[in-house]
Amino acid sequence: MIEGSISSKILGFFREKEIMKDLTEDEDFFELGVSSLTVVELQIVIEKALGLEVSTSKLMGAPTVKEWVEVYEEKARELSVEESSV
Amino acid sequence: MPPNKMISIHKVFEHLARQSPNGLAIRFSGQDITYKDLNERANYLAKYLQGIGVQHSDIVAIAFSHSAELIISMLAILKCGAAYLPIDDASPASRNKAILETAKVKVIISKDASCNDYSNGLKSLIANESSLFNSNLEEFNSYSSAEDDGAYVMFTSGSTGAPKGVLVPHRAVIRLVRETNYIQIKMSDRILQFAPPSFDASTFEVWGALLNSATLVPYSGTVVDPNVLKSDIRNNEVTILWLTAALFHLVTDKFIEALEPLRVLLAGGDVLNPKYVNKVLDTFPNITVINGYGPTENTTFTCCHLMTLENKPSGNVPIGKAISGTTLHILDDAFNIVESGQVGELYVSGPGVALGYLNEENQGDAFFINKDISPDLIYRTGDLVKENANGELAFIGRKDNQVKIRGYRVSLEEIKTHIVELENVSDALVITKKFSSGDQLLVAHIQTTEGLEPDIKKMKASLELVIPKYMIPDQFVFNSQLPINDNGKIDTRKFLSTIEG
Repeated sequence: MIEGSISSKILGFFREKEIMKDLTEDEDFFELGVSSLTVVELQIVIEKALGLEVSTSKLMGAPTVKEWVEVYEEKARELSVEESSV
Repeated sequence: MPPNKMISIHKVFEHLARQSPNGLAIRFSGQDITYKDLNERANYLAKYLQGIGVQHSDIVAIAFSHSAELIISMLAILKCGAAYLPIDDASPASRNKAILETAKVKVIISKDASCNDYSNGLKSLIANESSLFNSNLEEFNSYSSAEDDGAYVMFTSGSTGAPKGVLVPHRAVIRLVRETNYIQIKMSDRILQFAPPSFDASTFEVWGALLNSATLVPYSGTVVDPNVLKSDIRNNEVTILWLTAALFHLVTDKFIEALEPLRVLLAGGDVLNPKYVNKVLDTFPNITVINGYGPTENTTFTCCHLMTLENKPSGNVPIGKAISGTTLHILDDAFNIVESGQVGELYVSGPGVALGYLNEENQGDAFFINKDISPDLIYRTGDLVKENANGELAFIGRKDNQVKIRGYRVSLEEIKTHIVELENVSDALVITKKFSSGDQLLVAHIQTTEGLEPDIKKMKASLELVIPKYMIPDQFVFNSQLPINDNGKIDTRKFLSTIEG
Protein backbone atom coordinates (compact mmCIF):
# COMPACT_ATOMS: atom_id res chain seq x y z
CA MET A 1 0.00 0.00 0.00
CA ILE A 2 1.34 3.44 -0.91
CA GLU A 3 1.03 5.60 2.19
CA GLY A 4 0.27 8.80 0.34
CA SER A 5 -2.88 7.32 -1.16
CA ILE A 6 -4.38 6.44 2.25
CA SER A 7 -3.80 9.99 3.38
CA SER A 8 -5.42 11.71 0.41
CA LYS A 9 -8.37 9.31 0.35
CA ILE A 10 -9.14 9.86 4.02
CA LEU A 11 -8.86 13.64 3.79
CA GLY A 12 -11.09 13.55 0.70
CA PHE A 13 -13.88 11.68 2.51
CA PHE A 14 -13.77 14.07 5.45
CA ARG A 15 -13.92 17.11 3.20
CA GLU A 16 -17.05 15.80 1.50
CA LYS A 17 -18.88 16.75 4.69
CA GLU A 18 -20.00 20.37 4.56
CA ILE A 19 -18.82 21.23 8.07
CA MET A 20 -15.37 19.83 7.29
CA LYS A 21 -14.85 21.15 3.79
CA ASP A 22 -11.83 23.19 4.89
CA LEU A 23 -10.51 20.62 7.36
CA THR A 24 -6.75 20.38 7.69
CA GLU A 25 -4.85 17.24 8.64
CA ASP A 26 -4.05 18.43 12.16
CA GLU A 27 -7.45 19.85 13.06
CA ASP A 28 -9.53 18.15 15.79
CA PHE A 29 -12.76 17.40 13.93
CA PHE A 30 -14.80 16.99 17.12
CA GLU A 31 -14.24 20.70 17.67
CA LEU A 32 -16.07 21.37 14.40
CA GLY A 33 -19.19 19.73 15.80
CA VAL A 34 -18.82 16.31 14.25
CA SER A 35 -21.09 13.72 15.89
CA SER A 36 -20.01 10.20 16.81
CA LEU A 37 -22.48 8.92 14.23
CA THR A 38 -20.62 10.86 11.53
CA VAL A 39 -17.38 9.28 12.71
CA VAL A 40 -18.96 5.84 12.22
CA GLU A 41 -20.22 6.86 8.79
CA LEU A 42 -16.76 8.07 7.72
CA GLN A 43 -15.23 4.91 9.11
CA ILE A 44 -17.56 2.71 7.03
CA VAL A 45 -16.94 4.68 3.83
CA ILE A 46 -13.16 4.82 4.35
CA GLU A 47 -12.87 1.14 5.22
CA LYS A 48 -14.82 0.13 2.14
CA ALA A 49 -12.43 2.18 0.01
CA LEU A 50 -9.26 0.95 1.73
CA GLY A 51 -10.27 -2.65 2.45
CA LEU A 52 -9.05 -2.28 6.05
CA GLU A 53 -10.87 -2.58 9.37
CA VAL A 54 -9.92 -0.91 12.66
CA SER A 55 -11.83 -0.30 15.88
CA THR A 56 -14.09 2.73 16.26
CA SER A 57 -12.82 3.47 19.75
CA LYS A 58 -9.30 3.79 18.34
CA LEU A 59 -10.59 6.29 15.77
CA MET A 60 -12.57 8.24 18.39
CA GLY A 61 -9.37 8.62 20.40
CA ALA A 62 -7.56 9.95 17.34
CA PRO A 63 -9.68 12.88 16.21
CA THR A 64 -7.53 14.26 13.37
CA VAL A 65 -7.06 13.08 9.80
CA LYS A 66 -3.33 12.71 10.44
CA GLU A 67 -3.95 10.30 13.32
CA TRP A 68 -6.53 8.32 11.31
CA VAL A 69 -3.96 7.90 8.57
CA GLU A 70 -1.51 6.55 11.15
CA VAL A 71 -4.11 4.11 12.51
CA TYR A 72 -4.91 2.75 9.05
CA GLU A 73 -1.26 2.65 7.94
CA GLU A 74 -0.40 0.67 11.04
CA LYS A 75 -3.20 -1.76 10.22
CA ALA A 76 -1.98 -2.09 6.63
CA ARG A 77 1.55 -2.84 7.86
CA GLU A 78 0.25 -5.46 10.33
CA LEU A 79 -1.60 -7.19 7.52
CA SER A 80 1.38 -7.20 5.17
CA VAL A 81 3.59 -8.69 7.93
CA GLU A 82 0.99 -11.40 8.49
CA GLU A 83 0.83 -12.12 4.77
CA SER A 84 4.58 -12.35 4.33
CA SER A 85 4.94 -14.64 7.36
CA VAL A 86 2.39 -17.12 5.97
CA MET B 1 -47.03 -22.93 38.02
CA PRO B 2 -50.32 -21.16 38.83
CA PRO B 3 -50.78 -17.95 36.85
CA ASN B 4 -50.74 -15.69 39.91
CA LYS B 5 -47.13 -16.69 40.54
CA MET B 6 -46.18 -15.49 37.06
CA ILE B 7 -46.73 -11.82 37.73
CA SER B 8 -43.17 -10.81 38.45
CA ILE B 9 -40.18 -10.83 36.13
CA HIS B 10 -37.98 -13.04 38.29
CA LYS B 11 -40.74 -15.59 38.97
CA VAL B 12 -41.32 -16.01 35.24
CA PHE B 13 -37.58 -16.34 34.72
CA GLU B 14 -37.26 -18.91 37.54
CA HIS B 15 -40.14 -20.87 36.02
CA LEU B 16 -38.39 -20.94 32.63
CA ALA B 17 -35.09 -21.91 34.26
CA ARG B 18 -36.80 -24.95 35.81
CA GLN B 19 -38.57 -25.74 32.54
CA SER B 20 -35.45 -25.71 30.36
CA PRO B 21 -32.41 -25.58 32.65
CA ASN B 22 -29.96 -26.30 29.86
CA GLY B 23 -31.34 -23.68 27.50
CA LEU B 24 -28.85 -20.99 26.53
CA ALA B 25 -29.60 -17.77 28.45
CA ILE B 26 -26.53 -15.67 27.66
CA ARG B 27 -23.87 -15.95 25.00
CA PHE B 28 -21.12 -13.43 25.56
CA SER B 29 -17.64 -13.49 24.05
CA GLY B 30 -17.80 -17.22 23.53
CA GLN B 31 -18.98 -17.80 27.12
CA ASP B 32 -22.23 -19.72 27.35
CA ILE B 33 -24.47 -19.39 30.41
CA THR B 34 -27.49 -21.69 30.71
CA TYR B 35 -30.78 -20.70 32.33
CA LYS B 36 -30.00 -22.89 35.35
CA ASP B 37 -26.51 -21.40 35.75
CA LEU B 38 -27.75 -17.82 35.36
CA ASN B 39 -30.51 -18.41 37.90
CA GLU B 40 -28.11 -19.90 40.42
CA ARG B 41 -25.54 -17.14 40.00
CA ALA B 42 -28.31 -14.58 40.51
CA ASN B 43 -29.43 -16.53 43.61
CA TYR B 44 -25.94 -16.28 45.08
CA LEU B 45 -25.71 -12.54 44.51
CA ALA B 46 -29.29 -12.02 45.77
CA LYS B 47 -28.47 -13.79 49.01
CA TYR B 48 -25.44 -11.54 49.40
CA LEU B 49 -27.47 -8.39 48.66
CA GLN B 50 -30.07 -9.48 51.19
CA GLY B 51 -27.26 -9.94 53.70
CA ILE B 52 -26.10 -6.34 53.32
CA GLY B 53 -29.63 -5.07 53.82
CA VAL B 54 -31.20 -4.80 50.35
CA GLN B 55 -34.93 -5.32 50.70
CA HIS B 56 -38.32 -4.89 49.11
CA SER B 57 -38.90 -1.42 47.54
CA ASP B 58 -35.22 -0.43 47.61
CA ILE B 59 -33.61 0.91 44.46
CA VAL B 60 -30.19 -0.56 43.68
CA ALA B 61 -27.96 1.08 41.07
CA ILE B 62 -25.95 -0.89 38.49
CA ALA B 63 -23.06 0.75 36.62
CA PHE B 64 -22.18 -1.82 34.00
CA SER B 65 -21.89 -1.95 30.29
CA HIS B 66 -23.12 -5.00 28.41
CA SER B 67 -21.99 -8.14 30.24
CA ALA B 68 -23.18 -11.27 32.04
CA GLU B 69 -22.56 -9.43 35.33
CA LEU B 70 -25.12 -6.79 34.36
CA ILE B 71 -27.81 -9.42 33.82
CA ILE B 72 -26.90 -11.38 36.97
CA SER B 73 -27.18 -8.11 38.94
CA MET B 74 -30.56 -7.20 37.45
CA LEU B 75 -31.99 -10.59 38.34
CA ALA B 76 -30.47 -10.62 41.82
CA ILE B 77 -31.91 -7.20 42.63
CA LEU B 78 -35.37 -8.29 41.48
CA LYS B 79 -35.12 -11.49 43.52
CA CYS B 80 -34.67 -9.30 46.62
CA GLY B 81 -37.91 -7.48 45.76
CA ALA B 82 -35.95 -4.35 44.89
CA ALA B 83 -35.81 -2.34 41.65
CA TYR B 84 -32.69 -1.81 39.54
CA LEU B 85 -31.44 1.52 38.23
CA PRO B 86 -28.95 1.32 35.35
CA ILE B 87 -26.37 4.11 35.51
CA ASP B 88 -24.44 5.30 32.48
CA ASP B 89 -20.85 5.42 33.63
CA ALA B 90 -20.00 7.85 30.83
CA SER B 91 -22.52 10.47 32.00
CA PRO B 92 -21.17 13.46 33.92
CA ALA B 93 -20.48 12.54 37.58
CA SER B 94 -22.69 15.43 38.75
CA ARG B 95 -25.65 14.07 36.80
CA ASN B 96 -25.12 10.54 38.14
CA LYS B 97 -24.82 11.89 41.66
CA ALA B 98 -28.13 13.73 41.28
CA ILE B 99 -29.77 10.59 39.91
CA LEU B 100 -28.55 8.42 42.81
CA GLU B 101 -29.79 11.01 45.31
CA THR B 102 -33.18 11.32 43.66
CA ALA B 103 -33.62 7.54 43.72
CA LYS B 104 -32.36 7.33 47.34
CA VAL B 105 -29.92 4.61 46.32
CA LYS B 106 -27.93 2.97 49.13
CA VAL B 107 -26.14 0.22 47.17
CA ILE B 108 -24.43 0.38 43.80
CA ILE B 109 -22.98 -2.56 41.86
CA SER B 110 -20.21 -1.55 39.49
CA LYS B 111 -17.74 -3.06 37.07
CA ASP B 112 -14.82 -1.12 38.55
CA ALA B 113 -13.97 1.66 40.94
CA SER B 114 -14.85 4.39 38.42
CA CYS B 115 -18.22 4.75 40.13
CA ASN B 116 -16.41 6.26 43.14
CA ASP B 117 -16.54 9.60 41.33
CA TYR B 118 -20.24 9.90 42.06
CA SER B 119 -21.14 7.18 44.58
CA ASN B 120 -19.71 8.72 47.78
CA GLY B 121 -21.39 7.35 50.86
CA LEU B 122 -22.96 4.37 49.08
CA LYS B 123 -22.15 0.74 49.59
CA SER B 124 -20.46 -0.35 46.41
CA LEU B 125 -19.84 -3.84 45.11
CA ILE B 126 -17.05 -3.96 42.59
CA ALA B 127 -17.41 -6.86 40.20
CA ASN B 128 -13.79 -7.26 39.21
CA GLU B 129 -12.71 -7.64 42.82
CA SER B 130 -15.21 -10.26 43.85
CA SER B 131 -16.33 -13.79 43.23
CA LEU B 132 -19.94 -12.75 43.82
CA PHE B 133 -20.78 -13.14 40.17
CA ASN B 134 -19.22 -16.54 39.60
CA SER B 135 -20.63 -18.54 42.51
CA ASN B 136 -23.79 -20.61 42.38
CA LEU B 137 -26.57 -21.11 44.89
CA GLU B 138 -29.13 -23.72 43.94
CA GLU B 139 -32.09 -22.44 45.93
CA PHE B 140 -33.07 -18.93 47.01
CA ASN B 141 -36.46 -17.96 48.31
CA SER B 142 -37.01 -14.93 46.08
CA TYR B 143 -39.42 -12.18 47.05
CA SER B 144 -42.99 -12.61 45.82
CA SER B 145 -43.25 -9.23 44.14
CA ALA B 146 -46.72 -7.94 43.34
CA GLU B 147 -47.44 -6.93 39.75
CA ASP B 148 -47.50 -3.27 40.75
CA ASP B 149 -44.15 -3.42 42.52
CA GLY B 150 -41.37 -1.42 40.86
CA ALA B 151 -38.91 -3.45 38.76
CA TYR B 152 -36.62 -0.74 37.42
CA VAL B 153 -36.04 2.97 37.17
CA MET B 154 -34.90 4.79 34.06
CA PHE B 155 -34.15 8.46 33.84
CA THR B 156 -35.34 10.50 30.90
CA SER B 157 -34.24 14.02 30.16
CA GLY B 158 -37.17 16.14 31.17
CA SER B 159 -38.16 19.13 29.07
CA THR B 160 -37.59 21.24 32.18
CA GLY B 161 -33.95 20.17 32.36
CA ALA B 162 -33.80 18.00 35.51
CA PRO B 163 -33.75 14.28 34.67
CA LYS B 164 -36.92 12.45 35.65
CA GLY B 165 -36.83 8.93 37.06
CA VAL B 166 -39.58 6.72 35.68
CA LEU B 167 -40.53 3.83 38.01
CA VAL B 168 -41.67 0.87 35.92
CA PRO B 169 -43.52 -2.07 37.53
CA HIS B 170 -43.20 -5.79 36.85
CA ARG B 171 -46.52 -6.03 35.02
CA ALA B 172 -45.39 -3.44 32.46
CA VAL B 173 -42.36 -5.52 31.46
CA ILE B 174 -44.35 -8.75 31.24
CA ARG B 175 -46.92 -6.95 29.08
CA LEU B 176 -44.08 -5.82 26.76
CA VAL B 177 -42.53 -9.21 25.99
CA ARG B 178 -44.96 -12.04 26.86
CA GLU B 179 -47.83 -13.13 24.60
CA THR B 180 -47.92 -9.92 22.64
CA ASN B 181 -49.18 -9.03 19.18
CA TYR B 182 -46.17 -7.39 17.52
CA ILE B 183 -43.58 -10.13 17.86
CA GLN B 184 -43.34 -13.81 18.72
CA ILE B 185 -40.01 -14.46 20.35
CA LYS B 186 -39.05 -18.10 20.01
CA MET B 187 -36.68 -20.26 22.04
CA SER B 188 -34.37 -20.36 19.03
CA ASP B 189 -34.15 -16.56 18.82
CA ARG B 190 -31.04 -14.65 19.77
CA ILE B 191 -31.43 -11.01 20.70
CA LEU B 192 -28.47 -8.64 20.68
CA GLN B 193 -28.35 -6.38 23.71
CA PHE B 194 -27.08 -3.36 21.85
CA ALA B 195 -28.94 -0.47 23.47
CA PRO B 196 -27.19 1.11 26.46
CA PRO B 197 -28.57 -0.46 29.69
CA SER B 198 -29.78 2.99 30.79
CA PHE B 199 -31.91 3.30 27.65
CA ASP B 200 -35.31 1.63 27.77
CA ALA B 201 -34.94 -0.34 24.52
CA SER B 202 -32.73 -2.59 26.66
CA THR B 203 -35.88 -3.66 28.53
CA PHE B 204 -37.14 -5.20 25.32
CA GLU B 205 -33.79 -6.80 24.54
CA VAL B 206 -33.05 -8.32 27.95
CA TRP B 207 -36.50 -9.48 29.02
CA GLY B 208 -37.61 -10.21 25.46
CA ALA B 209 -34.93 -12.91 25.49
CA LEU B 210 -34.97 -14.08 29.11
CA LEU B 211 -38.75 -14.22 29.59
CA ASN B 212 -39.19 -16.25 26.41
CA SER B 213 -36.50 -18.94 26.85
CA ALA B 214 -34.48 -17.26 24.09
CA THR B 215 -30.80 -16.23 24.19
CA LEU B 216 -29.45 -12.79 25.05
CA VAL B 217 -26.23 -11.76 23.30
CA PRO B 218 -24.67 -8.77 25.10
CA TYR B 219 -22.87 -6.51 22.62
CA SER B 220 -19.13 -7.02 22.96
CA GLY B 221 -18.00 -3.50 21.99
CA THR B 222 -17.66 -0.43 24.17
CA VAL B 223 -18.81 2.16 21.62
CA VAL B 224 -21.00 1.86 18.52
CA ASP B 225 -18.53 0.12 16.20
CA PRO B 226 -19.88 -1.10 12.86
CA ASN B 227 -17.36 -3.96 12.58
CA VAL B 228 -18.12 -5.23 16.09
CA LEU B 229 -21.85 -4.94 15.43
CA LYS B 230 -21.48 -6.99 12.28
CA SER B 231 -19.28 -9.67 13.84
CA ASP B 232 -21.47 -9.93 16.97
CA ILE B 233 -24.52 -10.51 14.76
CA ARG B 234 -22.75 -13.04 12.52
CA ASN B 235 -20.72 -14.98 15.06
CA ASN B 236 -23.62 -15.39 17.46
CA GLU B 237 -26.33 -15.89 14.82
CA VAL B 238 -28.40 -13.00 16.18
CA THR B 239 -31.99 -13.03 14.87
CA ILE B 240 -33.54 -9.96 16.54
CA LEU B 241 -32.01 -6.47 16.65
CA TRP B 242 -33.14 -3.01 17.78
CA LEU B 243 -31.58 0.14 16.28
CA THR B 244 -32.39 3.79 16.92
CA ALA B 245 -33.65 5.61 13.84
CA ALA B 246 -30.48 7.52 12.93
CA LEU B 247 -28.31 4.43 13.24
CA PHE B 248 -30.89 2.39 11.33
CA HIS B 249 -30.67 4.92 8.49
CA LEU B 250 -26.87 4.92 8.50
CA VAL B 251 -26.44 1.14 8.69
CA THR B 252 -29.05 0.55 6.00
CA ASP B 253 -27.56 3.19 3.72
CA LYS B 254 -23.89 2.25 4.06
CA PHE B 255 -23.49 -1.09 5.83
CA ILE B 256 -26.57 -3.16 5.10
CA GLU B 257 -24.60 -6.42 4.89
CA ALA B 258 -24.35 -6.36 8.71
CA LEU B 259 -28.08 -7.09 8.94
CA GLU B 260 -28.13 -10.26 6.88
CA PRO B 261 -28.75 -12.95 9.54
CA LEU B 262 -31.70 -11.11 11.10
CA ARG B 263 -35.29 -12.37 11.25
CA VAL B 264 -36.70 -9.22 12.85
CA LEU B 265 -35.27 -5.70 12.81
CA LEU B 266 -36.89 -3.16 15.12
CA ALA B 267 -36.17 0.53 14.76
CA GLY B 268 -37.58 3.73 16.16
CA GLY B 269 -37.02 6.53 18.62
CA ASP B 270 -37.53 8.99 15.80
CA VAL B 271 -39.32 9.05 12.46
CA LEU B 272 -38.17 6.29 10.10
CA ASN B 273 -37.41 7.11 6.51
CA PRO B 274 -39.45 4.74 4.27
CA LYS B 275 -36.64 4.65 1.68
CA TYR B 276 -34.41 2.78 4.09
CA VAL B 277 -37.16 0.47 5.32
CA ASN B 278 -37.80 -0.48 1.69
CA LYS B 279 -34.11 -1.02 1.06
CA VAL B 280 -33.97 -3.52 3.94
CA LEU B 281 -37.09 -5.34 2.72
CA ASP B 282 -35.83 -5.50 -0.87
CA THR B 283 -32.40 -6.73 0.21
CA PHE B 284 -33.60 -9.37 2.70
CA PRO B 285 -36.95 -10.67 1.44
CA ASN B 286 -37.66 -12.74 4.58
CA ILE B 287 -37.06 -10.02 7.15
CA THR B 288 -39.71 -8.22 9.20
CA VAL B 289 -39.05 -4.56 9.99
CA ILE B 290 -40.93 -3.16 12.98
CA ASN B 291 -41.32 0.54 13.64
CA GLY B 292 -41.46 0.64 17.43
CA TYR B 293 -42.88 3.76 19.00
CA GLY B 294 -43.34 4.67 22.62
CA PRO B 295 -42.25 6.82 25.54
CA THR B 296 -40.29 5.32 28.46
CA GLU B 297 -43.31 6.14 30.64
CA ASN B 298 -45.36 3.47 28.83
CA THR B 299 -42.57 0.87 28.90
CA THR B 300 -40.57 0.86 25.67
CA PHE B 301 -43.30 0.26 23.10
CA THR B 302 -46.78 1.72 22.86
CA CYS B 303 -47.48 1.15 19.16
CA CYS B 304 -45.73 -1.00 16.59
CA HIS B 305 -46.00 -1.20 12.83
CA LEU B 306 -44.89 -4.39 11.10
CA MET B 307 -43.51 -4.28 7.57
CA THR B 308 -42.59 -7.12 5.22
CA LEU B 309 -42.00 -7.44 1.50
CA GLU B 310 -45.77 -7.91 1.12
CA ASN B 311 -46.48 -4.89 3.29
CA LYS B 312 -44.00 -2.24 2.26
CA PRO B 313 -44.49 1.33 3.40
CA SER B 314 -45.70 3.76 0.78
CA GLY B 315 -45.18 7.28 1.95
CA ASN B 316 -44.70 7.85 5.68
CA VAL B 317 -43.98 4.91 7.95
CA PRO B 318 -46.89 4.66 10.41
CA ILE B 319 -46.24 3.95 14.09
CA GLY B 320 -48.98 1.37 13.71
CA LYS B 321 -51.34 -0.08 16.24
CA ALA B 322 -51.41 -0.47 20.01
CA ILE B 323 -49.41 -3.41 21.32
CA SER B 324 -51.19 -5.89 23.60
CA GLY B 325 -52.14 -4.43 26.96
CA THR B 326 -52.25 -0.87 25.66
CA THR B 327 -55.27 1.40 25.30
CA LEU B 328 -54.86 4.47 23.12
CA HIS B 329 -56.86 7.67 23.53
CA ILE B 330 -56.52 10.33 20.82
CA LEU B 331 -57.94 13.46 22.37
CA ASP B 332 -58.31 17.17 21.78
CA ASP B 333 -57.42 19.81 24.35
CA ALA B 334 -60.79 19.38 26.07
CA PHE B 335 -60.24 15.60 26.44
CA ASN B 336 -62.78 14.79 23.73
CA ILE B 337 -62.01 11.88 21.43
CA VAL B 338 -61.14 13.35 18.01
CA GLU B 339 -62.86 12.07 14.89
CA SER B 340 -61.06 9.34 13.03
CA GLY B 341 -58.49 10.88 10.70
CA GLN B 342 -58.14 14.06 12.76
CA VAL B 343 -54.96 15.03 14.55
CA GLY B 344 -55.08 14.68 18.33
CA GLU B 345 -52.77 14.20 21.26
CA LEU B 346 -51.99 10.63 22.26
CA TYR B 347 -52.85 9.49 25.79
CA VAL B 348 -52.30 5.90 26.91
CA SER B 349 -53.57 3.62 29.65
CA GLY B 350 -53.20 -0.04 30.58
CA PRO B 351 -50.61 -2.28 32.24
CA GLY B 352 -47.69 -0.65 30.37
CA VAL B 353 -48.14 2.69 32.12
CA ALA B 354 -45.39 3.32 34.68
CA LEU B 355 -46.09 4.07 38.34
CA GLY B 356 -44.97 7.69 37.87
CA TYR B 357 -41.84 9.77 38.36
CA LEU B 358 -39.68 9.40 41.44
CA ASN B 359 -39.16 13.07 41.99
CA GLU B 360 -42.68 14.19 42.64
CA GLU B 361 -42.01 17.86 42.15
CA ASN B 362 -41.48 17.01 38.47
CA GLN B 363 -44.68 14.98 38.20
CA GLY B 364 -46.47 17.79 36.35
CA ASP B 365 -49.58 16.68 34.52
CA ALA B 366 -48.00 13.75 32.68
CA PHE B 367 -49.60 11.00 34.80
CA PHE B 368 -53.18 11.48 35.96
CA ILE B 369 -56.52 9.83 36.66
CA ASN B 370 -59.66 10.78 34.77
CA LYS B 371 -62.50 8.29 35.06
CA ASP B 372 -64.19 9.73 31.94
CA ILE B 373 -61.25 8.53 29.86
CA SER B 374 -60.17 5.36 31.66
CA PRO B 375 -60.47 3.70 35.08
CA ASP B 376 -56.67 3.31 35.10
CA LEU B 377 -53.76 5.70 35.41
CA ILE B 378 -53.32 7.68 32.18
CA TYR B 379 -50.08 8.95 30.66
CA ARG B 380 -50.03 11.97 28.39
CA THR B 381 -47.42 11.46 25.67
CA GLY B 382 -47.23 15.00 24.30
CA ASP B 383 -47.17 13.45 20.82
CA LEU B 384 -49.60 14.32 18.07
CA VAL B 385 -50.96 11.45 16.03
CA LYS B 386 -53.73 10.69 13.60
CA GLU B 387 -55.39 7.48 12.54
CA ASN B 388 -55.32 6.41 8.89
CA ALA B 389 -57.94 4.37 7.04
CA ASN B 390 -56.34 1.09 8.18
CA GLY B 391 -56.63 2.03 11.83
CA GLU B 392 -52.89 2.65 12.05
CA LEU B 393 -51.51 5.72 13.72
CA ALA B 394 -49.29 8.20 11.96
CA PHE B 395 -46.88 10.21 14.07
CA ILE B 396 -47.38 13.91 13.36
CA GLY B 397 -44.97 15.49 15.80
CA ARG B 398 -44.45 16.78 19.29
CA LYS B 399 -47.23 18.90 20.62
CA ASP B 400 -44.74 21.46 21.83
CA ASN B 401 -43.09 21.69 18.43
CA GLN B 402 -45.99 23.60 16.97
CA VAL B 403 -45.51 27.10 15.73
CA LYS B 404 -47.72 29.78 14.27
CA ILE B 405 -46.75 30.77 10.76
CA ARG B 406 -48.75 33.32 8.83
CA GLY B 407 -51.52 32.82 11.35
CA TYR B 408 -51.69 29.09 10.91
CA ARG B 409 -50.78 26.53 13.55
CA VAL B 410 -48.08 24.38 12.00
CA SER B 411 -46.14 21.35 13.17
CA LEU B 412 -42.51 21.60 12.10
CA GLU B 413 -42.25 17.81 12.40
CA GLU B 414 -45.06 17.36 9.96
CA ILE B 415 -43.31 19.50 7.35
CA LYS B 416 -40.13 17.57 7.93
CA THR B 417 -41.81 14.21 7.36
CA HIS B 418 -42.91 15.40 3.93
CA ILE B 419 -39.50 16.78 3.01
CA VAL B 420 -37.62 13.59 3.83
CA GLU B 421 -39.92 11.74 1.46
CA LEU B 422 -38.63 13.78 -1.47
CA GLU B 423 -36.16 12.36 -3.92
CA ASN B 424 -32.49 12.67 -2.94
CA VAL B 425 -33.27 13.88 0.57
CA SER B 426 -31.78 11.83 3.39
CA ASP B 427 -32.72 13.99 6.39
CA ALA B 428 -34.08 17.41 7.21
CA LEU B 429 -34.72 19.87 9.98
CA VAL B 430 -37.34 22.59 9.76
CA ILE B 431 -36.97 25.63 11.96
CA THR B 432 -38.46 29.08 12.22
CA LYS B 433 -36.39 32.18 11.73
CA LYS B 434 -37.39 35.61 12.91
CA PHE B 435 -36.43 38.40 10.57
CA SER B 436 -35.80 42.01 11.51
CA SER B 437 -39.17 42.84 10.01
CA GLY B 438 -40.72 40.71 12.78
CA ASP B 439 -41.94 38.13 10.30
CA GLN B 440 -41.40 34.54 11.16
CA LEU B 441 -40.35 32.41 8.23
CA LEU B 442 -39.92 28.70 7.79
CA VAL B 443 -36.44 27.47 6.94
CA ALA B 444 -35.74 23.91 5.88
CA HIS B 445 -32.23 22.60 6.38
CA ILE B 446 -31.84 19.64 4.13
CA GLN B 447 -29.32 16.89 3.99
CA THR B 448 -29.11 15.42 0.52
CA THR B 449 -27.94 12.09 -0.74
CA GLU B 450 -24.26 12.30 -1.60
CA GLY B 451 -23.12 14.35 -4.54
CA LEU B 452 -26.54 15.34 -5.80
CA GLU B 453 -27.40 18.91 -6.62
CA PRO B 454 -30.88 19.61 -5.24
CA ASP B 455 -33.48 21.41 -7.32
CA ILE B 456 -35.38 23.83 -5.07
CA LYS B 457 -38.04 24.56 -7.65
CA LYS B 458 -38.81 20.89 -8.07
CA MET B 459 -38.84 20.33 -4.32
CA LYS B 460 -41.31 23.13 -3.74
CA ALA B 461 -43.54 21.82 -6.51
CA SER B 462 -43.52 18.32 -5.01
CA LEU B 463 -44.32 19.66 -1.55
CA GLU B 464 -47.23 21.69 -2.88
CA LEU B 465 -48.86 18.42 -3.88
CA VAL B 466 -48.93 17.14 -0.30
CA ILE B 467 -49.08 20.08 2.11
CA PRO B 468 -50.82 23.46 2.16
CA LYS B 469 -48.89 26.42 0.79
CA TYR B 470 -48.50 28.02 4.19
CA MET B 471 -46.49 25.00 5.28
CA ILE B 472 -43.97 25.24 2.43
CA PRO B 473 -40.63 26.53 3.75
CA ASP B 474 -39.55 29.99 2.65
CA GLN B 475 -35.90 29.10 2.55
CA PHE B 476 -34.08 25.93 1.70
CA VAL B 477 -30.55 25.47 2.97
CA PHE B 478 -28.48 22.47 1.96
CA ASN B 479 -26.16 20.95 4.51
CA SER B 480 -24.27 17.77 4.01
CA GLN B 481 -24.58 16.88 7.69
CA LEU B 482 -27.08 17.68 10.44
CA PRO B 483 -25.74 17.12 13.97
CA ILE B 484 -27.00 14.00 15.73
CA ASN B 485 -27.15 13.80 19.53
CA ASP B 486 -26.32 10.78 21.71
CA ASN B 487 -29.85 9.44 21.35
CA GLY B 488 -29.48 9.32 17.57
CA LYS B 489 -31.86 12.21 17.00
CA ILE B 490 -31.14 15.46 15.20
CA ASP B 491 -29.68 17.83 17.75
CA THR B 492 -31.77 20.93 17.10
CA ARG B 493 -30.19 23.04 19.82
CA LYS B 494 -26.65 22.30 18.65
CA PHE B 495 -27.69 22.98 15.09
CA LEU B 496 -29.22 26.33 15.95
CA SER B 497 -26.09 27.36 17.83
CA THR B 498 -23.90 26.55 14.81
CA ILE B 499 -25.99 28.53 12.34
CA GLU B 500 -26.35 31.47 14.67
CA GLY B 501 -22.71 31.37 15.75
